[in-house]
Parts: sequence; C-alpha cells; structure tokens
Amino acid sequence: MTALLSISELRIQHRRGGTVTPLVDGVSFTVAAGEALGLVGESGSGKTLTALSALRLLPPGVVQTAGSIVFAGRELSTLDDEGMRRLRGNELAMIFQDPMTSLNPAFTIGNQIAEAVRAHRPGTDRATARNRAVEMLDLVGIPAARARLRDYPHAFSGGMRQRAMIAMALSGEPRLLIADEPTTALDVTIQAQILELLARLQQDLGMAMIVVTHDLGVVADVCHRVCVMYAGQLVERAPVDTFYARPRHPYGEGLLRAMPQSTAPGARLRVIPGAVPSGAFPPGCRFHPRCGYVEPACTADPPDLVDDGPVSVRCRRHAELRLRGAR
Amino acid sequence: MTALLAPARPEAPKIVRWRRWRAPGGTAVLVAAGYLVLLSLAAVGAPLVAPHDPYVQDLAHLNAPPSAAHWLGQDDLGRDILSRVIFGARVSLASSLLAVGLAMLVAVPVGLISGFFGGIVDAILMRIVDGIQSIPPLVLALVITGLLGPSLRNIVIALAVIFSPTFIRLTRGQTLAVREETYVEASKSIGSAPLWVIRRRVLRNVGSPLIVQASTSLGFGLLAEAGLSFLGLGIQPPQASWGVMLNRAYAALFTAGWEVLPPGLAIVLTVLAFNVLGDGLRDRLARRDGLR
Amino acid sequence: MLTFVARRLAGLIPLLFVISLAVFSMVYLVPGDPAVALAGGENATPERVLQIRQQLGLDQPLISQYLNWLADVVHGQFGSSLFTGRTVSSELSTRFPVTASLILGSLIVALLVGVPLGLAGGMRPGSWVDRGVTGLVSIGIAMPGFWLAMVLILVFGLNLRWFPVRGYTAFAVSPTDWAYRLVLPSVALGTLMAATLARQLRGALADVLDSDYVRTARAKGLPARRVVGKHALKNAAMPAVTVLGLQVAYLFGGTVITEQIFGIPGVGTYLVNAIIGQDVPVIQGAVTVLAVLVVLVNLVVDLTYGYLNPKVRVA
Repeated sequence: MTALLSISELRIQHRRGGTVTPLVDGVSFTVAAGEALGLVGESGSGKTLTALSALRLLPPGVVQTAGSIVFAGRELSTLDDEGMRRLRGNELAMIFQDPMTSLNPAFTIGNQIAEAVRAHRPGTDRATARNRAVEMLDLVGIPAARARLRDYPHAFSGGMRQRAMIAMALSGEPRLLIADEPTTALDVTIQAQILELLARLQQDLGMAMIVVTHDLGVVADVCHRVCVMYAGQLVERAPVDTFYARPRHPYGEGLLRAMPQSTAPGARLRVIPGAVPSGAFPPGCRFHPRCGYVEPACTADPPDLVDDGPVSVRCRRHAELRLRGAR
Repeated sequence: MTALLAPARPEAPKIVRWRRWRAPGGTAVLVAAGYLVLLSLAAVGAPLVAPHDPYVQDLAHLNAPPSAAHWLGQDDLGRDILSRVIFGARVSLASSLLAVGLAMLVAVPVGLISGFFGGIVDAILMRIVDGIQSIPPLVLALVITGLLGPSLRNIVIALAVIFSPTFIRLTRGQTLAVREETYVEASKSIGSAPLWVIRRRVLRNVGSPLIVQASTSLGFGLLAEAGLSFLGLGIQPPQASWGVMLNRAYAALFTAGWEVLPPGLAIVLTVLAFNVLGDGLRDRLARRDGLR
Repeated sequence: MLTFVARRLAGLIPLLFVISLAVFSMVYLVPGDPAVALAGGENATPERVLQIRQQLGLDQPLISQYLNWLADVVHGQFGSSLFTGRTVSSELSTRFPVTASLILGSLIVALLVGVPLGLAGGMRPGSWVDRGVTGLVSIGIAMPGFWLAMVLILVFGLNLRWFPVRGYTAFAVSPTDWAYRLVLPSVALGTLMAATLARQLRGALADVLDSDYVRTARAKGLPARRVVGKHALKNAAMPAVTVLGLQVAYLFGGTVITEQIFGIPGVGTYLVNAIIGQDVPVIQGAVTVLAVLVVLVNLVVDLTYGYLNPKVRVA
C-alpha cells in the first residue's frame, strides 16, 4: 500500500527577530489512501501546526524549516503557490476547530460552498455550482438544503455550521480530509453526530482522513491508526487497537488513563501531573519530568523513535514496561 | 481530564500570542515620552531656558530670518521666535492639560452615576452625551469660547466639554462591568454591592484606559487650542501660544512664509508624541491584561 | 430590515430634543444680560437693546421662548442675523453647496490616498511598507489641517505658483475652475481623513486577514486576490465605512478654518463670522443644522452597516 501523504522529518519553528522557538521537531508519519489517522496530544504538542503545514497554511512568523511533505507523489514544501492553490480544497481539504468563526459572516452559506466548487472547476456556471452546493448540504444531513443556501452563517447553529464546513470541504471530492479538532467547540451531543458523520463519509467516499484532536475517544471512534505527539515530537505511532490495548509510551498510557471513559464510575479522574514544556525542552527524554517511570538515564540522552512490531515508540524503557491500556 | 486536556480550545490562545509578539517595539514610546518630559521642563522653566524675552519687540528686524542670535528668526514685531515657541509651550500645554483634568473631574463621577444607577438616570445622561457628540467638536468649542468670550479659562471650559463624552462613556462602561461582577459575587452574601464598593473598584480598573484616553485627548487639545487661537477666539495676543503664533505667521504668510514652520512643527511633534505615547500605553496595557 | 429602520428613527427623537435644548440655551452662555451684551455692551442704545430683546424673545418666560424657537425650527425657520437681517435659511442654502464641494473634494483625496495606504499596510502587517504607512498616518493625524493649508499655500501657491491661493468659483460658473481652486483646500482638509481612513482600514484588514474565515477561504483553494478582494475586503470595509461617515458629518463643521484660510464663502466662514460677532440667531441656526446633519449621517451609516452586516439586520 503506497502512502497518499507522507510527512518526514518535519521541522517547524517560530522566528521573531533573533529568537527561534522550535514548535515541531522531526515528525514523520504516513497516511494511506482511504485510511483514517488520529493525531493526538495536549495543546502545545504541535499537532495542529503539523496539520496546517500540509496545506501550507502556517500562521505568519511560523515556518517549516526542514523535512518533506509528499502528497500523491508531489513534494508540497517546494510546490509553487498556484500548484498549492489547486490542491487545496480540491484533492486536499481541511476543516477547522471553530465553526462559529470559520465561515465568513458576510456571505451566504450557498455562496461560500458554490465558490469552493467553482474555484476548482473553472467554467462551472452558477446554477451548476448551486446544485452541487445543495447536493453537498444534503450529503452532510442539512434538511431543506436548497432553502438554506440563502442563509447567512449566523442563522446556523454550531453543529450546522460544522456540517456546512464539511460540505464545503468535501465539495472538491478530496482524497485527504484534515479535520482539526472538528468537535472541540461543539456541544457534547452534537460532537457525537459530527463524529458519526465524519466516520460515515470517510468510509462511503473512501477518502483518507487525519483527525487532529486531544480527545482519545474521538480517535477510538473514527481512526485506524494513531500518532501521539508530545512537545513537538512523535512519541508513539500505532494501530488504534494495539494502542488502546497496550500503549508503549508512558505518555500514551497517561492519556488513555485520563479518559473519562476509562475511569470507574465514581472514581476520581486521573491526570498527568505538570504541563507540556514550551520553548526550552528538558534534556534527555522530553517527557521525563512528568513521567512516572523515569530513571536517571532518561534525563541524559534523548531517545530515538524505534520500531517494536507494528508500533513505533520514543522511550528507552518501552521493551521492559508493561503499560496499561484503556479498560 | 481537566488538568490534562484543558483548555477546551487548546490552539486558540497561541495564535493570539503570535499576533502580540508582532506588536511594535518600545523605542518610539520612549522617544515620545523623553521628548514630552524635555518639553514640559522647558515650558516650566521658560524664563530660564528661553534665550530672549518673548515680548520684547525689535522693530529694526521685523520678520528677520534665523541668525546666530535668533536661531528661529524674528516675527512680524521683531520678537524672538524660539523664545515665543518656548513660552507658547506653557500656554498650549497648560490649556490642554487643564482641559483634560477638568473633563476627568466632571466625567468620572457622571460616568459612575450613569453606570451605577442605570435606568432612567443612565438614559437621560447618555442622551445628553449623544447630544454633545452630535455637534462637531471644533464647532462646539468655537461656539462656547465665542459666546463666553475668548480667554484661557474659557478655552479650558470649551475643551473640557468636548472631551467629557469619551471619558463619561469609558467610566460608564467600566462601571457596568464592575457592577455585573460585584453583583454576581455579592448576591451570594449581602444582596447587592453599595456604591462605594463599586466606586473603589471602578476607579482601580478605569485608571489605565483613562490615562490612554487622556494622552490622546492632550494631543487633540493642542490642535483645538491652536485652531481657536488662530481664529482669534482663544489665547489673546501678545501672550504667546502656538495657535497665536500661527495666527501671526498667517498674517505674514506672503512676506515671511517660513514663520509658519516653528509653531506648526512644535504642534505636529507634540501631538505626535502624545499619540505615540497613548498607542504605546494601550498596547502595553492590552498585553498585560491579555497575559494575566 | 423595516423594523430595524423604524427603531433607529424612533431613537432619534430624544436625541433631537437634547440637541434643541442645548442649542437653545446657548444664548445664555453670553455673560451678563444677553440683550445688553449682544447690543454692544454698556454703550448700547436702549432702543437697540430693546430691539434685540424682542427679536430673540428674551422678554418672554423661558418656556415659551423655547417653544417658540422650537416651533420655528421645526418649520425650517432658524431666525435671521442680528446685523444683516438676512435669514439663516437663505444664507445656509447658498453656502451649503460651497462647503459640500469642499467636502466632496476632501473625500476624494481621502479615498485616493487613504484606501491604497490602508490596503498596502494591512496586507502585510509588520513589513517595512506597513511601518512606512503607519508613520505617514501618525504624522497625518498629528498635523493641524489649517497649518497644512498654510504650508500648501506657501509651497504650491506662492513658490511654485501651480494653484491659486484664495477664492472659490461655483461649479455652475466654471466646472474646471471650480475643481482647480478646490485642489489645495481639499488636500488640506482631506489629509486627516485619509490618515484616519488608512489607519482604520489597515487595522481592520490585518485583523480580518488573521481570521479563521480567511484561513477557510485559503483552504478552499481560492486565489490570493479573491481571498483578499472578496472575503477580507467586505469585512474590513465595514468599520471603515463607519469612520468615514462620521468624519464627513463632522467635516461640515470642521471646514471652518480651512474655508477661512482659502477665502471660501461656505458654511464655516459664515459660522466663524457669526461667532466672532456673537450673532446668536445665526449661531443657533447653523449649529442646529450641523447637528441634525451629523445625526442623519450617523443614521445612514448605521443603516449601511446594517445592510452590509446581515447579523445586525436581523437582530
């Protein structure tokens, strides 16, 4: 199976004046056609930046300094702007965290979807583009789609807006959809609906998907494989089932045990003490200050990402530790 | 879960921080503040700093261009322009400063009352504020000084009237916010917070935005004073203010046009300094409040 | 949209009432007995004092003074000058087109200069272009318009002799001369507006370009010019329209000194002469008209804003 997207040794930095802050530090992973990959980690782990870099939409001042991003055989980091533009919203689409702010308040939903259609099919007339927009809104489960084309985003609820965003993203029939925290800003009941929709569309349309999230429950529902990021690095990469049964990295274990679903009713939620370091990373393993299995050697040399069967893990004790998965 | 995965929207604060890093540096603010300090010192110590008496006429050298003795030249009565710019700084700065002070003295209590009592009191006060703001500020100042009669005192009153609305709105907004907050806290214990509790809290919170607004108003005050005095409705000759000097320079425009430059540049630089200072303070406060 | 308009209109009534009270009480700003002061002070003849007292209705009770004045104003009668006897309405109607021409000129200057500067700065915040724009804008805002007017006269009128330094020609008389003579005054007056507009547009554009929906537009694969031209500009234009509208309204009073300097017989010159002469009926009439104008422009701006921003329209 050849990879649809292959990111290798990606480095992203924030540069201002003379100060350089590393944000993503040598991340590599692949996504196969039709596969759903979860990219998880706490805030500040670099997961969203990694996702944004695939569309070359990094915020100002934040730059990719090394590594390659190959999508469908094309190197994206050196692709010209026009080539990149043709990929975006067409073969490679993205939806964002906050549907309340991600739609332009000054234009109708129909206008914004039709515009996405026409951006990649020059010569499409307005009526065709509108029909396509109706089709897409139907697909994502918005009732009375044709009537709602004329609505402005403020007339839509949060969940409906996210559906509209998905409709817009899928209008170009992308081969890969990147969903950046697609449910974080939504109510819990709506979250489940949107996740279900994403999972269904991913299978029905046979597209690949990257779900960026801090919520391992989302990954369990939707994804085939998972990449865990910590402090700008990949610390564990595994098939979802394997990961949930037996994580190899102490951070993965911590994330799983902190899920409310894995806590017995009435018991206190477990947390990983401390916070993700930013800017200056600790020497040795970056997770060692928060790790329950730390040894003196962990503080000295930074561990490499090594393969262990189907799993890749960045922990020098991965072979000896028997970590607990989700219940 | 809470400690591990909160905040709920993990990436948003970071974007805000990137934006903040791009805020311009503090050098301009320092230069502006330094200039204003020097100018104030020169204004206060004008008799010591000025090379000549600003009122002594030298009829042999009317409109004389700059020379070794008179660095900025002499005006239409032969008076030393540099000395008049320095003495003019006194009057111009004083009128602006007094006006801002008077405006705050009146506006802060009014804003407090408006925000605290709300309802009909607030509605009436705010309509009055709207009414004042419906009259173009320069026109309002002209009418007030024109009818009261031109003098330093009346300029101060006129400027205070046109500055008040902004200060009232600022204080009122702050009071509303504080009232909302204290209501939430106090309702748990004693019912509602009395005026003095709110006043103390408002005064503590409104301080920084008032200072920012004051800085901008000081600049505008200079512009307005210059306009009023230029039209003869402000400071009266022979007393020097930058506006009065521009009035004299206008009279000499066809014979000694360069005379518009010294007082004009003094105004531009000083207003610029006040605005840079105001913007700088605003950025700094926004940053402080954002990081808290 | 209709209820929105209706609500805005109803909100004007108390405001207009406050304005009328303020303008009416202006006569009592004059120190001492207004009739005596306006007649020329202590040396005024008793006949003149009496005449003024009657003309202004100062011999009646305050409340009927106000009601009479208000009734006149509502009927479009703003009284007449204490000196020339000409009615304020006729004077204003001949002078209004003059000032409107000047404001039109300034608006053109503001748009021609302010929009490109604002866009250039806002497109790349923090770049050297942006820093240049910010610098120019700061100077433009700090400059007294009438000082700029004098400098312009000095440079382009007296030294280079490109433009006339004083005077006004009506459009009906000679359109070219009308435009030619308005150049310097318009630049003097329009610079502040250009600077304010540029600053507003720059800030709004920079914010909007940083917004989530612009990121969405780019993620859709729209070309850069469409992202800016469609998605960013419409949203960035809203606050700019607001600021510009208010500026134009204020300008009807702000032309005062510029008109004076360039010898333009507009509303400003009329007002200044009235103020200097303490011609109270003229002051009251002119200020009322100016204030109502500001209120109306504000209304138009609000409605435009409501039209541009669908959220406001419904709410």
